Amino acid sequence: MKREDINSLAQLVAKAELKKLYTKINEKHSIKVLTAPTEQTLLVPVKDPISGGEFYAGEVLVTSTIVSVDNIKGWSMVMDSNNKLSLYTAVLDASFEANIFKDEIKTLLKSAKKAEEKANKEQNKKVNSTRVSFDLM
Amino acid sequence: MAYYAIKGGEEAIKNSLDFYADLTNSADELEDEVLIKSLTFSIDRVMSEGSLYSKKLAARSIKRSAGDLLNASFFLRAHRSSCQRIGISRTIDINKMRLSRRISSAFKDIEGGQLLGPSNDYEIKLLVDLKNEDVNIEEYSSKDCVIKSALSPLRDDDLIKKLPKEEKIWDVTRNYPSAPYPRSAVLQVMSRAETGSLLCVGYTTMRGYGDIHPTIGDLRIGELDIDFTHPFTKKDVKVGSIEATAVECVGTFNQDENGDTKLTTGFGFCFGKNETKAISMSMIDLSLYNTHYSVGGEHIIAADFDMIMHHLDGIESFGMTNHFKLPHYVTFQTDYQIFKSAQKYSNDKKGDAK
Repeated sequence: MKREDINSLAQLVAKAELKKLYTKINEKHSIKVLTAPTEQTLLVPVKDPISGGEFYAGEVLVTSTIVSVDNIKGWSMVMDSNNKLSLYTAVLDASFEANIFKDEIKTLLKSAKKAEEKANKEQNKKVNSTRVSFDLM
Repeated sequence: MAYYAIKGGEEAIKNSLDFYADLTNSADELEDEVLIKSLTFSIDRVMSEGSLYSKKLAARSIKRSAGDLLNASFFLRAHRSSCQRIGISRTIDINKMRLSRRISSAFKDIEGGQLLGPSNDYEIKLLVDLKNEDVNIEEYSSKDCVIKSALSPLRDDDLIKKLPKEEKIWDVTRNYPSAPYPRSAVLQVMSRAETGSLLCVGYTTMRGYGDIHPTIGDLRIGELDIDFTHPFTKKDVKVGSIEATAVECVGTFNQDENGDTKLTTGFGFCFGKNETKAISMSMIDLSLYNTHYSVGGEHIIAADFDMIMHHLDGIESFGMTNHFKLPHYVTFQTDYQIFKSAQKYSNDKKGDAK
């Protein structure tokens, strides 16, 4: 698992689980919030297949946070308005980099990834069950 | 037209807001999550027209406006303008979409096949309880459906008309362009436009005000990743994913500016699951950039860039239309006084003539 995987995988974990791990880290290490969770937007460019150029389709609401755990900086940018999720994710990002509770973080995220993959497979079966080839009369 | 400040009415306005709250507050009893899951198409429409992808805020907006979706989009658009824009995500490519639905009415057999996805296209639209047939999906593949556009082979063979590539992407939220409008601005305007307005103008291309009968080359609904740069590692990070709809419609083969015969196409893209909007957008795009379709040089609404650039935004047209409810006493009284004076002048003239 790479540090760059944390941001998306943490969003798959139940918030209660993230809070539990956050509390454990907070009890033994110094967490400082450098930039409190803030709602921001990301402009989304889309490739135009006709010209090969791009255009902006709109903006996505994200919540970003910057923290430090034992002076190692961590960051998160999660989807939608999600202050707590953003805070917990930034703390995991910093802790992972600082080798703090790294195994617990990996275990938590891996199990979330597994659950997500299982849900995706179920969804894919539904999608693939609708594949059709109409016959001409 | 001039605007005039008004004062007073605080008590009535306060009571009116309270009355409105009484009428609509029971919507708060609906959980956001329930609304997001159950009214998924309403949520998507509001995000697309509000031009802000946020399911939570879309749910809150729908509740705040008691189901008035145009009003809900207004709430979302207003919230968007109150947030700092942190940057630009990586460019998304519809060919990388994890599909839940993919239709081509132009090609019977296409690579990857046609996927009906979650759709009620083939349902009889009667408000009666229909029996759900038992389905068994276990035997089907669990693989992701990531399939290139059905038009890709034609593009690879250089059979599709290309438009000039712009170096700079225009952003209409920061700087609204004047004619001639950059293509990126035109597509952005349509991508955040109101569905009904796009549908209306798109429909004109098929009826008496245009001569397009497009075919859907590739209609796709699915998920696309949103990536951004981690500020400390400087590497790409997945922020999350969005649902989106993309449509490439095809016209007919026509000569392009170089004299080559190519297939004309139009592109539509919007946030969420909203295929009516994306189809309409693609038809208007086809009409705008292939004006030879126009019947006998008549004025074609869907081929008129000014019409498209200034009349499709739901929030703007809604705001302008609704502002007429607000006090216009001075405007009207001025007109009325002019009319009375003219009438008196005319009567006096008639008296003099006698």
